[in-house]
Amino acid sequence: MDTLPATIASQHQALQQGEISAVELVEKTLQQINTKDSVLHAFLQTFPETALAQARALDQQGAVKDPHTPLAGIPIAIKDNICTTAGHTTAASKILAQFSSPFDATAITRLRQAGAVIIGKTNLDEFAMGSSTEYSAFGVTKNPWDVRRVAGGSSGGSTTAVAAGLSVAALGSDTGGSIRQPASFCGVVGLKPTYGRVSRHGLIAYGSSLDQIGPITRTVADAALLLQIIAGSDEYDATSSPTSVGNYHLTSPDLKGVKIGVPQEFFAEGTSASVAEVVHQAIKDLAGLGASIVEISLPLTSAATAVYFLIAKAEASTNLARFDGLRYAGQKTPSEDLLHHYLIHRGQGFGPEVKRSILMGSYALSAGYADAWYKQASKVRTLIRQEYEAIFKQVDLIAGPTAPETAFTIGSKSNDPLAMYLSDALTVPMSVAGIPSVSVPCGFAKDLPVGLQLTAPAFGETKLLQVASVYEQIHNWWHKVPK
Amino acid sequence: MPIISPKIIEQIASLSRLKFTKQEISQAASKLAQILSHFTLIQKIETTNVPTSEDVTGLTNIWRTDIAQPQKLCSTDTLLQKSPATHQRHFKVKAVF
Repeated sequence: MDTLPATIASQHQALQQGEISAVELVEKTLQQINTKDSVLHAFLQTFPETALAQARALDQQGAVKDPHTPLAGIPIAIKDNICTTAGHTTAASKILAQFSSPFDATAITRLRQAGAVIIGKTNLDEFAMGSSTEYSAFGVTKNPWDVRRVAGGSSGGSTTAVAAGLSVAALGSDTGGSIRQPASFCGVVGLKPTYGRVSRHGLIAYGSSLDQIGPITRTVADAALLLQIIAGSDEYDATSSPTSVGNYHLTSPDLKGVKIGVPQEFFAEGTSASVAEVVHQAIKDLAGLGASIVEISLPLTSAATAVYFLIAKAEASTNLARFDGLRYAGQKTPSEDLLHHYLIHRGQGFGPEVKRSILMGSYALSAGYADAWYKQASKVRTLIRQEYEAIFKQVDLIAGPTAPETAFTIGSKSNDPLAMYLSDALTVPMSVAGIPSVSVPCGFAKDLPVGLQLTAPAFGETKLLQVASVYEQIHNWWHKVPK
Repeated sequence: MPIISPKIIEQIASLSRLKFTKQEISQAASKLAQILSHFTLIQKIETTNVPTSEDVTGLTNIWRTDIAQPQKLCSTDTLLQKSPATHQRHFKVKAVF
């Protein structure tokens, strides 16, 4: 077998039919990574020894024939802010350069129980704060469609790995768009589940009321399979939902009777004309399959960016207070006393965006300013949640572009934090509202991928993935691969 | 335009235990001012009688029985092994006093 099958479904079939063993699949995956990743830098670490040991055990047990291990032998890449007992978990930060987790995140445990092989950890913006993966302390990840451009962020390593065929699937995390936006930039599928759908146990926290782990894959069917495995309540995450996990197995209905709302605010002046054109065509395609398209308005969309960043940075300033540089920092600088140690190690161990984020968050929470900033943001958050609840009484799903633009060039926004924040303008509202949202490839603008973002009400992943899958099968954009 | 003076940045940096150089302080002040002046739009939104959203799940008082589950506990050996500096089966850190 020369080329690796491109999807979980096709790799699973090849394993079941004995065309390839789990060990061979891991070896070929590692070869791909070794060949291409020196240019792309999607991976921070790979685990050849543990991955091969896992694969060998699966081959010996004949696990690929066991329906209880639906992912048997499938190599999966993991964003490096998700704890794995293998290797290090650095969150792409110097302050955790030497941290080795004593436990696996619940999502990892569930993947392993299903037979998946953990192939390595992928690059991200430091502590998941960013929209390009340029803020990683360990170098930027390139976009495989044009290596002068960013992969997007913060899950850029995971989306590049999947888009470039280095890993058939990956996990990412999404706080304000960190799965969806890079999925859009890299031309892959990226899903942010409903808040509480997937356990956050073992995910290094950024914004605790916003974070979710989610799948990054070539096809919607693969994303549905991964969600099926990682979703569900977890006694180690008190915010995980007791709502029962749906059956995400996809059938192929047409879209008759499905009402899809298109918000005018998603096509306002911030959205590039070339992206708008591609997405409008995708929406016409949805109508062609029987969906009724309704023009809607979500007036609080422009406020969502401010609401998101004030809440996320406030929560982050608390979440990052635990990092003291006492145990796991890569560099050790001599210090006089404990306070001096904290100042230096946190000052040097965190990058500029993380430090700026902690400042902004602390400021928004501080006495005299908390009412005007954090409390007001939290109240407007309630209004945004209500706005989405009301609109879902009129429509089943919402459609629009995932990002206002295609992948930008490396360096073009890294000195302009506000511009970087605004590239998330179309993904942050769903995070604020806690509702599920998926980015699906819908074409190209000037040879760069464009993502269609579909959004459903809370716990509406079944219909969300059904419609996304039906759309995907019109063009199968995922067949096109970067050179 | 909200004024985030370098003095406020210094205070918050100190409370957050972050060392900044003088140049970093003035850069942070100007970038934060730019960002926050864009965010002032939320202060124009009417929110009288609107509740805050601290609770986003609707869940309350999630309990579990307080018993140790040995199969999920990490051994002392594992924890120490993963730490760069130890002394007599303790983590070694700087003196607090």
